[in-house]
Amino acid sequence: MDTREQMNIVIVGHVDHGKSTVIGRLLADTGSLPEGKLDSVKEYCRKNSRPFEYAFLLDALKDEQAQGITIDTARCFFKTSKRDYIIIDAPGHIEFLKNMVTGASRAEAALLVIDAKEGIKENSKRHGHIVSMLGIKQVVVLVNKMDLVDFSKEVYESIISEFGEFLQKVNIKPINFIPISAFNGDNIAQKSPNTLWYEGPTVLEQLDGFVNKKENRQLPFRMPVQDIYKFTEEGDDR
Amino acid sequence: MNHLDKLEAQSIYILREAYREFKNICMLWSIGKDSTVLLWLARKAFFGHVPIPLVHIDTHYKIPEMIKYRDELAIKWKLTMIYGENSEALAQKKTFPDGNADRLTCCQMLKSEALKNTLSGEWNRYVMDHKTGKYVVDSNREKYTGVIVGVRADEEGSRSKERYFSPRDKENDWAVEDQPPEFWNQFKTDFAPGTHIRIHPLLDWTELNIWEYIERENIPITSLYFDQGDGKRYRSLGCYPCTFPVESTAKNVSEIIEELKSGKFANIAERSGRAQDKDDGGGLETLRRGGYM
Repeated sequence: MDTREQMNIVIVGHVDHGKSTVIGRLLADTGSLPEGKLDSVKEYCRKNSRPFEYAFLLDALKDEQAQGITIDTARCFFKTSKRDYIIIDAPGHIEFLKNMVTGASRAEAALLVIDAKEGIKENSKRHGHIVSMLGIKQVVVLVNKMDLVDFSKEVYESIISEFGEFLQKVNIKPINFIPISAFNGDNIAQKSPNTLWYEGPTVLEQLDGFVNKKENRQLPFRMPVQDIYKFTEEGDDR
Repeated sequence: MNHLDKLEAQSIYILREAYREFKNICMLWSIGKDSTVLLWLARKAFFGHVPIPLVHIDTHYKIPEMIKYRDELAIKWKLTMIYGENSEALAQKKTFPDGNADRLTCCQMLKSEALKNTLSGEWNRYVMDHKTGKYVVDSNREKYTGVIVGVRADEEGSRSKERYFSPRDKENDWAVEDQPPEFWNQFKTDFAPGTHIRIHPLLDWTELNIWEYIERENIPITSLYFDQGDGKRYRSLGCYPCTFPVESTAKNVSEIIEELKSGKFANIAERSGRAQDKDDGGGLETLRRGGYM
């Protein structure tokens, strides 16, 4: 029997900063999609005269594809040689915040996505707050859409200093800031030649770098009593 | 605890929460591997008893071995076994196999409509009489307000967005954009009159987890999942006009696990043999919004 470790990761951040695209790209670049899935999404986009988006791999609902947004949290199953993951894709719109909270409460670690060009927005901060309140200690910031700022180290560093300062206020010490372009695949599964100045891990390496929570049996003892009942049928008197 | 122990513990926790919160609760048993695992978990959760009636929607186009297996297990495990059907559509032959409906409409009538009216008690329910082994009309017509279902998030896009406890309104509609929040293991079980709650204890299981668990627990599964010597087996079970076997020589559970892990099905979606999904533009969303599981 295989005894693989399993871990839940949530991906959060402001609307349109590219959360679903990060996951879609990660699934595509690691060969985690079922055969034909990528082609069928490409075909769907072609038929509907829309540019292809990795996000459509996750935004499965018709309303989501029509509006180009994530409405509800989706679970995706993903594995590396180290362990199995459930990646929880949370919506970035303010009106779907309760869906984001639902997703985040199940996670051990969070990837917080920020658009390099747009910078820090309302929900970047709000999601940061919530992640902190839910007690998620391991947070990595993904500075996305680096291609739109010519992979500028200065832009990357200004986000580190500005957002890092905010996160400190809400008691989050990010493990890393990773410069990425989810759409083009930079630093997702492979190191990007466009960010030679960056020496940290890729998103994929970072996932395996997270520390999973302790086994329940290593934690203080808790015994939940859910209900009391007795079944006496068939002479059972337990 | 390994990953199967954790999945098992979480599912049993959800089943016990559901049993405590709902007076009129039932569990859907499609006879397939997932809902049979669910039934197994219920036996574990309640120490060999299953205090929750099992409901099967019989379209009368199910593969005959499925019905035989259902009744054998119902007798052996002393289950409160109930089935419901759309007798009107069947009598008037308004079905896809009769050539009078497309696949989606057929599914909507024989499954979704039948399910809705069976759960609400508006149509006849048939319950197994354990003295005779035959089905009789159930005198209990009370509405079920909690329905336990064995869907998994990895099966298909709209299922990946489910809650463990998910409300459906009076019309059976699913407001995906307005689902209640679920924090940790706190589930919202209090809903408006007329609505019902679907409970999904297997949401975090994958197809592979299901088979690993079947192997570990030695759960009896219908032989339709195994190759009977003609090089074909079913990977997903449904009505015979719309469900096709896959080419496979897996003859037992461990061969299926091997096939899923490294063999030819490692990268092919489980429901690829289910025709109604394709008619719904590659997913099940339209059907599911209308009450399909």
